[in-house]
Amino acid sequence: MADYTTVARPYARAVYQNAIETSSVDSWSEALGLMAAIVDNAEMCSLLDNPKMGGEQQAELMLKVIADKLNEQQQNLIKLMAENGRIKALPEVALQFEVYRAEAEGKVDAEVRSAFPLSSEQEDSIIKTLKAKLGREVTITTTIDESLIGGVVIKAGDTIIDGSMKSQLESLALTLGR
Amino acid sequence: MQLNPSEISELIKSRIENFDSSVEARTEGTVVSIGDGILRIHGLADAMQGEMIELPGDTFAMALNLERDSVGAVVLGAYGHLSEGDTAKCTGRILEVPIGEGLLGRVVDALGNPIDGKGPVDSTETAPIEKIAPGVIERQSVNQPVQTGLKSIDAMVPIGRGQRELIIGDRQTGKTAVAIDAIINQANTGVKCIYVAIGQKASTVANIARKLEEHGALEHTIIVAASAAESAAMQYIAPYSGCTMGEYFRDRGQDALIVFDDLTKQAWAYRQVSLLLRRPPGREAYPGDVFYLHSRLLERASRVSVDYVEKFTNGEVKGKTGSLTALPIIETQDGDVSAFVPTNVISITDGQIFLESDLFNAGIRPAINAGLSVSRVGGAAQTNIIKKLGGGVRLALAQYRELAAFAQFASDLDETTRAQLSRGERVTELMKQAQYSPMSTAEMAFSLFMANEGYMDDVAVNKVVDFEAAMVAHIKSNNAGLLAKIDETGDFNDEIEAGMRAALDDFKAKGVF
Repeated sequence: MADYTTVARPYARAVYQNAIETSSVDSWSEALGLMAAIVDNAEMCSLLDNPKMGGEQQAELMLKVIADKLNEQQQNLIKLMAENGRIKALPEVALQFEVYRAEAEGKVDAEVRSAFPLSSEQEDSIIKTLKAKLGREVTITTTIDESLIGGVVIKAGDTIIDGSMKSQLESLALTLGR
Repeated sequence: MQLNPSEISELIKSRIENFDSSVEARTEGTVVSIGDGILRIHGLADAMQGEMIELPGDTFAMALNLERDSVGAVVLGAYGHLSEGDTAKCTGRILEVPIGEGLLGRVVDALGNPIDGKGPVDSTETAPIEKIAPGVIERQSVNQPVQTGLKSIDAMVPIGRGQRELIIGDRQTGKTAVAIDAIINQANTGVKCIYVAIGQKASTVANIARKLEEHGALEHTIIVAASAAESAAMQYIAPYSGCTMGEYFRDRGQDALIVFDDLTKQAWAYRQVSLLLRRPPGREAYPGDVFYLHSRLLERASRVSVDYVEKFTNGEVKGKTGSLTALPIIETQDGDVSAFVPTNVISITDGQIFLESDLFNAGIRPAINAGLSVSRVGGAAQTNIIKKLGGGVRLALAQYRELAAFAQFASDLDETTRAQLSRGERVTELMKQAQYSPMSTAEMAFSLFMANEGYMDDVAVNKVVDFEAAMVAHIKSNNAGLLAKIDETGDFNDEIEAGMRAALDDFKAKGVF
């Protein structure tokens, strides 16, 4: 994943600018999501990794699967990336595209992990606090993780707010162990 | 010792009570690759240069390379338990070490953790290991001496408080011995010492600690050890840690002396780290900033003004200047002072003490080459009496060296030349001094006076060392008052001169020797 970050950046930026100019951000977002899903598919992955496969053949293969769902520009992106031998960077391009989009729209996705299901009031209060802290519109996705014992862990981008019982116990153990 | 359960429960209770359980937002990244102690971490978008990065298992790393999508960091300590995919957290802190009086008498590693088995270090304060040196306005010129207790150094290459004097020489020429003698001589001067051992054998460090303890010098000394077995990163940061511990004393209006033993090995460690971080290699495969590596370290050794100390301590310490004197050590290969690192450090420091293996093997110990050793600022700091008397010694040696080479082929020498040669031989002999036996200013003054005034001219060359010892013993038992007076004032005037002359005449007349 990290290997493709640098490679994917110019593609993601170009695609995003194109999307803004043609006001087709939603359609691009959908298309990139689809492409990423296909590249991530295990069978597809092994085919793309085949060293006998040339760039043109990769593009042909990809387009055979999803050509009917893409417009001409989107098909061109696949051809271009295949030609440059960067087809495997597509998932990262999709990821970065969403980051650009979220940034422009002033939104941020936060993952909230908690030991117990959160009530809607609790969720609201987390959203409100995060909004004040990050200065953006926040949408949260919640998951349950019993290993946390108690409390919540919030992850927004690179930032982690770890208020879980588990991490507190771990750091207490370290303090006492010293 | 009996274990007291209630005591321990109390301890644990107070620790739990004081446990800081506040939650902070931190940036987190993932370890992408790890090898040879170098981590590449994805994420950590707002990591700072030199920031401590927390890793699983109470391990820390230091961020050194901040790149577009990743951070290059070196692990401080063992890294066997780390693996790809581990989470790495920013701590928001630059690498810090404990500082304070509590460290005196202790042996610590490059991070300030005690390694001498004497329990935890009694220190509450910490300070970052990388600090900017005091500026131009905050400094004061060097005008107080650091007495090393070695005749040849104090007379010919005097060192002042706040000076940086390089000790350079091949292996086995007594570089460490000179530095250790200087530390031992600070026992009654109030100068605090820091000995930084970089890339040395752990047994050597243990020996040094024991020797210092034997001579009562450990209680005013901090030993910072990054032995050869420790990671290159630890060896790289050890001098900076030691320097921070020394600055504690400087900034509070005290005097401190720091020995870096040796900076060649630190440069090697830094070269290793840099090459593993894929920084481009330059001359001798050192990275481009190897000059800055040493210049920023040695620049922190300085004498600071009264105002600086007062401002730093918020007015608690008034009317006192502080100083940190540095004695960096560089090991040369086969006397090659024009290699990369030696030339760098020679140009950074305020002079050098040049030790030679030929002299060492000829029995002249400390093996100081009087011609190549210089001190650029120490002269202003020399005690009056040593300055007056030491000039003659330097001159006698210079003339002797010139004549000695030339006189080898001459059979018939005139009277003056022969006198200069015999004086030179005796002065060379007089400059010999045993290890761990520093001399006081007054004793040194007597030795120098004796040489200048020709009291030794009728003493056989191989008896000079014994003659001097007998003289010092005689003066100590018969003229203790004069010795104390010289030590106290350091002045040289007609009265003192007459006193010294009388004492020496008395010694010669009694024929003790």
